[in-house]
Amino acid sequence: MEDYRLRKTKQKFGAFWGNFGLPLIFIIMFAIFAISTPSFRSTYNFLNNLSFSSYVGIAAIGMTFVIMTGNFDISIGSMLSLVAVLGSSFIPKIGGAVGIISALLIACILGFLNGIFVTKLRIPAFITTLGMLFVFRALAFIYTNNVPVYISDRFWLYFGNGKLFDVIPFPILLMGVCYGAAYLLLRRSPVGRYIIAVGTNPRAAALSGINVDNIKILVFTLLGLFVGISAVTNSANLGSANPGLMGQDFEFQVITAVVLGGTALSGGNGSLGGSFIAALIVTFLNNGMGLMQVNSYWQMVATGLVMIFAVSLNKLKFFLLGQGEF
Amino acid sequence: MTEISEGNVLLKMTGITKIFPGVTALKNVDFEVKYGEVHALVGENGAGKSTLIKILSGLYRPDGGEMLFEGKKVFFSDTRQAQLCKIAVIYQEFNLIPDLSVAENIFVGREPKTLGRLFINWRKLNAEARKILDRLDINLNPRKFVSDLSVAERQMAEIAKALSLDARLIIMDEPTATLTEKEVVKLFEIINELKKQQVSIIYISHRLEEAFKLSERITVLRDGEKIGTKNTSQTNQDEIVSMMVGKVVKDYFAGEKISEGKKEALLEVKNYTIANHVYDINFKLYKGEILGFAGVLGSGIHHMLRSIYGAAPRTKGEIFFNDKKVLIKNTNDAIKLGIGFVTEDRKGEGILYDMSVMQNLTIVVIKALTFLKGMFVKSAKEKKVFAQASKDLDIKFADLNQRIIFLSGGNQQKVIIGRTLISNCKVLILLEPTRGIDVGAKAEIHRIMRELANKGISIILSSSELAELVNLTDRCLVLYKGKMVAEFNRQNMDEEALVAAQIGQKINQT
Repeated sequence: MEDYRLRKTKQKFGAFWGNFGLPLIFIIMFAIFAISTPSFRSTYNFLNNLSFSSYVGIAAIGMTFVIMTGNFDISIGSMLSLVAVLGSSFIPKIGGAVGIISALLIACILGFLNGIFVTKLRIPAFITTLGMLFVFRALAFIYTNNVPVYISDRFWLYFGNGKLFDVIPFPILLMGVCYGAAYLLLRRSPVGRYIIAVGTNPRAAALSGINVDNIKILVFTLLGLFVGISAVTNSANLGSANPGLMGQDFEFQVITAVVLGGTALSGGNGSLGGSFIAALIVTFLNNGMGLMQVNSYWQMVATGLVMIFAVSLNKLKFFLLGQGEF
Repeated sequence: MTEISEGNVLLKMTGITKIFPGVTALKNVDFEVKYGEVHALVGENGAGKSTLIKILSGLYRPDGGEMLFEGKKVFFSDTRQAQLCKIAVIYQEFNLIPDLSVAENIFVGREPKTLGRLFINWRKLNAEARKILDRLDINLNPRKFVSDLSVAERQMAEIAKALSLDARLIIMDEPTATLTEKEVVKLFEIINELKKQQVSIIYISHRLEEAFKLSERITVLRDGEKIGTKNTSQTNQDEIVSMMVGKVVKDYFAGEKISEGKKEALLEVKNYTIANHVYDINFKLYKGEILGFAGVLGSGIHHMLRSIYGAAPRTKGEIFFNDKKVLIKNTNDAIKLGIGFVTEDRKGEGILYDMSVMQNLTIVVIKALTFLKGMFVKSAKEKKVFAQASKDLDIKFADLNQRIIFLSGGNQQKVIIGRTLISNCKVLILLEPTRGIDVGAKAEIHRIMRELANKGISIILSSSELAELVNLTDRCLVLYKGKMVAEFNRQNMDEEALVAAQIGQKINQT
């Protein structure tokens, strides 16, 4: 009896933690920075941060899908850089709008390639994307000769610096649209069902007539697309595409956001909302520490610890809910 | 404490009960093993043998009852404690490390050391291993890597490992399932040698004649209850089989078999071969028929049915559907033809545990329940389909958004059967559909199968529960080591004959 009551309490706490733990962490962190650092609490800084968080936030959508199906992708930082330098270098020939479309197309192809390697050639995602991490980055260097590509096209630049009604930065809007579309895909479309099914039990999914390989290729391609969008907004914000500097530690921040957001690295059902809030946490944490003038190496220490902390938090949730065995 | 002598009891279990959500796996079971005795434990699948072993090995904790080992009360909360009590289990899948040698495996974690415990004393390690292998007259090089051993040799290594741990009780789970006849003879010699050294053995096997050859006593379990223990010398195979099967079971096979008037072949399989699994299988499946498949481990039935459904490769063979030759390359092809498949491994490849009851049921047809050219799921339509199916199959659930893992085994199984049915299924392949679910749910699934067959759906039923086959199927094919060895129809089908055919005994067929 005692045991039963204890278990119930644990479950309740676990469910509460699963639903509200992450927003709670964000609010507490926000409050600490707001109290200690005056420059943190301005509307300008808030919107700016939100805008910055879109790079990680948008890519985290694709990464959520990929991690849900039991894989992950560490090549996306290099992919971001390669897509940005390629796309922006096309601008003089084809213009900003077509440039963006071609950048997104290239991004999809790179993601698709990762998917093919992982599924059809059965190379573990870690090896494939580790290899691609070097390949993409090196190609970006070779293509540009390590000279940054400067961007002057207004259409392209609007993606990073434009403001709707002169207030809301365009990347925030774009992030909202991306999350809306991703939600519809995951929760309202058959393909979303298939993604969840492949993540939760690939063998059962295969017996239900789902082509597991195709779904995995699809999510890698989608990740490419979202990384492509981040590549455009990020390079637009900076006004240039630097092959060496763009997307450094990007894969690390994105994976941290997704895991902190509650999607288990072992696959299964994921949480887009969790990934979103976690992307905010990762970005605001860096910004807050920056404004508090924390040494940037210590910032890296903090982000690294957050990553480990994130995994243990998820373990805690599953333990409390009594699902440790899954 | 009493003296250890021939007739004394090494292990005594009384009133052992184990309850899983939705199933009582063991009900008040008493079981004992004497010193130096081979005690055979028999029963059909789902009878509770493996649960009993898992309790003995510390994998499961019983919900009731107590255990005495060497006269002392014991309680195992993990496998280590069982090991300390000198109980060893040799599972069908061995627990050896393939990249280590036989000797290293025998002494893993307890290697003899040298030079201040820094290094392993290899010479001593191999010599000690040799000594143990010699004790059982096993001709095996202790320096050989386990990955290079045959299945039989691995088993011997496992037995040697158990002995090196000074095991008093060795549990063997289907030890002969994958051995050749010669290897079986060798295994029996080893078992007799163990017996002489006062080691007790619990011997679990589907092959009754082995139990009779080896054991002093036989205990029969059925549906989680102990039916009885017999002295092997005072009983015969017929009596044990009838104890295993039981007469009561017949009551819950509802519905009548339909008459064999019309014979319209719906599915025909010709010369089906899968290398290392099945060879040259031919059969026809008629409309509205329940066709049974019987065979013990190694028969290849599951592999073949899985391959017909497109979930496993084949080497050779043709499939005809409605007299047309079809090529089934993947599961989707099979589903499109109207073939449904229910796996024997519900947990491993049946349920989608992160998803709701409804989503589990509709996953196969979800693409059809959409609007805007398949873009979005029509929620109302999905709910309607689910409501209909859950009513037809009488699925019990609290909320359609409830995760499927919170349902009982029987209801999970119904969801998985429903999943195939709503996709316009004409042929339903069921592997062990009633494994691990309780008697009530079992009867319901039997009723559903009969109703479906009466509606004209053809069913292929593979079951290791013979009563199920005898009472439900119109015809039954028996496979032994990948070859079809017998076909029964309703006139000549009975459990004794099926048991005999399953274990490869020649039978007189007219």
